[in-house]
Amino acid sequence: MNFFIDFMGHFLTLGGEKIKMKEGLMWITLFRKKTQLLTGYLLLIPAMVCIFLFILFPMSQTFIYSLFRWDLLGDKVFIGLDNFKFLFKDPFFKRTIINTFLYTILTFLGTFTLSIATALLMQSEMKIIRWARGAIFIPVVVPMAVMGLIWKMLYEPQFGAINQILSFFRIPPQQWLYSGKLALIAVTIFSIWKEFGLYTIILIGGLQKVPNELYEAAKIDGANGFQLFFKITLPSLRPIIFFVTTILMISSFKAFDHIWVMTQGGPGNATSVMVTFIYTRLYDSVGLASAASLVLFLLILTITFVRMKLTREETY
Amino acid sequence: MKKLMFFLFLIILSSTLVLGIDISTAEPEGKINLSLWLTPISAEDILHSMVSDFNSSQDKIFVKLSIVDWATGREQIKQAIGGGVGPDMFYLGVGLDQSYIGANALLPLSKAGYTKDDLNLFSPIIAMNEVNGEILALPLYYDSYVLYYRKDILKDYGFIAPPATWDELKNMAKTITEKSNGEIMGFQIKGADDHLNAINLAWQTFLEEAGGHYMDMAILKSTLNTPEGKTALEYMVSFYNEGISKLGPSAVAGFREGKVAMFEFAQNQIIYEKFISDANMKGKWAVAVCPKGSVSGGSYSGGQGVAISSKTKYPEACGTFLKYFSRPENMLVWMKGAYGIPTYDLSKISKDKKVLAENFMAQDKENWDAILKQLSLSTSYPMVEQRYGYSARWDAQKRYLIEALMGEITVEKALENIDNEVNQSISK
Repeated sequence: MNFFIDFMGHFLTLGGEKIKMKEGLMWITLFRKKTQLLTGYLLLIPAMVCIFLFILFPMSQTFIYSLFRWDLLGDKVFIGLDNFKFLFKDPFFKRTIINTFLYTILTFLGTFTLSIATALLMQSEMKIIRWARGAIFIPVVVPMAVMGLIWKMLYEPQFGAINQILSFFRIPPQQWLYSGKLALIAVTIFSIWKEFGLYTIILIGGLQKVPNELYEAAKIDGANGFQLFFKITLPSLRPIIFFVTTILMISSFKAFDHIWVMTQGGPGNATSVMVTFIYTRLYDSVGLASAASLVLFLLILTITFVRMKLTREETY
Repeated sequence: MKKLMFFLFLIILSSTLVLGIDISTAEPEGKINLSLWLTPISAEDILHSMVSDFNSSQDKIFVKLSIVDWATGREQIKQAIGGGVGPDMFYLGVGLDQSYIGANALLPLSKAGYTKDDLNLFSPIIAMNEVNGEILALPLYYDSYVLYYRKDILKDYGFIAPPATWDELKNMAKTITEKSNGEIMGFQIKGADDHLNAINLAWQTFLEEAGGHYMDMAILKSTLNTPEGKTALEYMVSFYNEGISKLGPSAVAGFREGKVAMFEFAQNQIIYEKFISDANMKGKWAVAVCPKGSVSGGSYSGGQGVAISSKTKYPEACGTFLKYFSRPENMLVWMKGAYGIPTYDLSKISKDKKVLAENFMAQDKENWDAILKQLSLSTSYPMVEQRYGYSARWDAQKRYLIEALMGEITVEKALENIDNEVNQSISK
């Protein structure tokens, strides 16, 4: 394309007068700019098609289905906002919202605290520390559902390893996944263990970018460990912390696979979260499941938006 | 080095693509091609072999079998049919599902070449698959809940026969748990352990034994929160309240290890858990009729079957395949593969085929006598009633019944919540 434009430009300058040549070059530049623009749009098309097919289209279908009554097999019947009205009256749905928030808060606090503490400990470039960084990342790469099944066996009340370990410390065996009080905590512990490695690596990357001179200068001024952490480390890490906490929050809201393999939302309703609600309703009432999906989407969007507003200067 | 890596990548990618192509079941031209989706109702190689035998015997029909897993298979089938791309024939549990019936998704067998004489060969409980006089799915074999008991443990604690009533079950279980200081659980409810879905089957057993009903069919409302429903659930809860049983420990694993003396579950565990072939278990266990409740000795009875899609273009061909797949000679396949109870009325089929079943049962007479006796005590009404709001009930029961067993909710509240969720599902 560029060769063609150059060739035409050369041809015009050879054949025309000075004014015509200037005009000709202007048209060629315009043509080149438009062509580049067109090329850009053409290259964007595959990505746009993917976004449309896998994000926008399913979202619009979800919205449409939420206005219907449909059990997957029979006819779709338009019922307006009845699905939403039912959701906000349904005690089980309300319970799943509470469980989702509880799970998110616990996972968020636990994962973030553990990640930043581990990142601070693992800043060194010693060989053993580098090996340890790899080791903490191993749980991240194993599929959630697979690890969930393994931890389910670990939590087994009679023969599980966790109760065996507790017995060494003379702690009585716990019911874990079979206790209404402990099941959500048990699932959260697993989730923290599984994911903290990823956020630790991200935070280590951020920590390594903090200039050492800042710490040296602060130490010369007499700053202690706490002051170094709160006055230098945390402020320097603000953009990364914002990214990490946002991703962590969103993924916690969407938690499903490990909860399903470990407890299927039970015992009772103890670990039922919004996504398990959506899954269990999907094959019986597509409309209700779609409405719940939309509620979840709006919840996450609202929280993320509020967060962004409150921490405006932390955005990239 | 970069070139080498690139070529390696290309090789791996190509291999993945080639391995992903399914060439083993290329559909032959000139034949009617039918698709069949089944859950592993028997060993997969046996199912493929049966289909392969059929295909070899046919000039005009070819059936392609796909096995879908138990965990998500039913949803996959429903999704495919709902999307209009479902198979010609598919797995459907005995008892049917109202959402299929309501959507007219099932082809009556009479339209697939089944005559009244053909259907009369089956035992009367084929009525579990009947709607308005039409059989909508063919049962391949039946399952029935039975009481698994450890003869050796019962003997150690002074019991020579399994319990025959609820009171006897409770007393025996309590004695065993107390005298063993909790080392051995006298009785564990399947579903209060690692097999969460099984609570639905256990519940059906106790509910039927208490004379309860899932639905008031006259007004199509869920009716678990009734005196009978409360009797059943209170009985179940009492095992945990009184410390006889504990939530969590596996009934099957505990049974095998001698930590659980009794549990109730489907007869197919005899094969699936290899109790029958495990040398360590020889002589230590047996099955019995479920202890009789306040009203009846019935229990969960269901089974596995195949339905024909109403959208199939080849109903007669589907019928031909089904007749082959479910023929009396194949009774042994289901019996050997899952201890499946024959669906035929043995008194109506030819003697040579009847003898096949009888000879197999004779090898384990004690257990087969109990299984057949249990099936004769069960009724079909629970399976028919459960069709309504099936998925909602299945999920709600799993949650609220367990909450009741944990003592986190009253019996009445648990049943009321289940009724509410089921009624909401039916009324949508």
